[in-house]
Amino acid sequence: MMPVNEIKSEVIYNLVLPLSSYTEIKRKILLCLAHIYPRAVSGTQLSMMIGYSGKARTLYRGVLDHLEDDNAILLDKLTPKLYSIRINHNHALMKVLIDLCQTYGKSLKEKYGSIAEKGESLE
Amino acid sequence: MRVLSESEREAKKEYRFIKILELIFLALIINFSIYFILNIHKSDSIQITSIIKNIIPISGLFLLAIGVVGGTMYWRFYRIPPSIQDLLIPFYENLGYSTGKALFHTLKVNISSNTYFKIKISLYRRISAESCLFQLESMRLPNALENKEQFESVSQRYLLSSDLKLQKFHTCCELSEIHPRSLLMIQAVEEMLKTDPKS
Repeated sequence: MMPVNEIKSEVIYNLVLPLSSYTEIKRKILLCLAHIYPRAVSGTQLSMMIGYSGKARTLYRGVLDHLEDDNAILLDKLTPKLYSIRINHNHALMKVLIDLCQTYGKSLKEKYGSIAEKGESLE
Repeated sequence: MRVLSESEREAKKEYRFIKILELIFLALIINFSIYFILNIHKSDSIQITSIIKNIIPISGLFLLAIGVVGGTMYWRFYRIPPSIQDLLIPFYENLGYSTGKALFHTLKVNISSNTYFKIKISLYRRISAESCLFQLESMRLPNALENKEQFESVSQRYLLSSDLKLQKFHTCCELSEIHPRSLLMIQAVEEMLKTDPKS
């Protein structure tokens, strides 16, 4: 992991530019997954973490496919209905996002973690 | 935002219209099949044949079929809803690029005389609750194979997916993302083409 104070402004710009081209829901998903890295979550947990009902899976089903196509996230199909979703740490931009969130978003990481645990108990 | 919601509504309407045309098309095929099967067999079901002939005037049906096939083909493979066209074309023209329509709801944006990218439009995707979906696809980038690392790095920088076999970048986006995502696509194509093929 690169020390955050060594990340250049240019790299931050290169991260902000494509992220800003995404819809709000895609940005929420990426930010959430970057905060909870290296943890993988299910669809229900993810939708609860970004503020949707755990049952509202259709809201993001296509969105997750798009993010996977762009290599931003990794989707592992555990069962036909259960997915394991995590951020793609091998992607150059996602690495920067993970570094930033892990360094400055410790408090948010805890909050996301507690929501994920609630989601886990619901499944 | 008003323009976007109007475009979404129009995309849904067009999608429903296409589905209705396809249903009529299917109904016509079934009718024709029944008619011809009964005629070929000349079975004892003369009564059925005459009933069908009386209900369906075959010459009128044939003309209707031609109309429906033509309409379905046009709507299914070529037409782009006017509000989506109005949303896309002026944007690229303001950037100084020319545009052209192609088959399968595709808009071709010419960045220069030999540089372009395509926007494939899917009118309605029920599964993801999207009313309109776009697939941006770059032109074939001839120097991608010689510069695999650069090709991969550019695709990552602009959050696009790269296909080395096809030597193309592509990405899916929704109506509200189409303008910023296509700007990224243009930058990625230009950056890749600037790369020296021998480097």
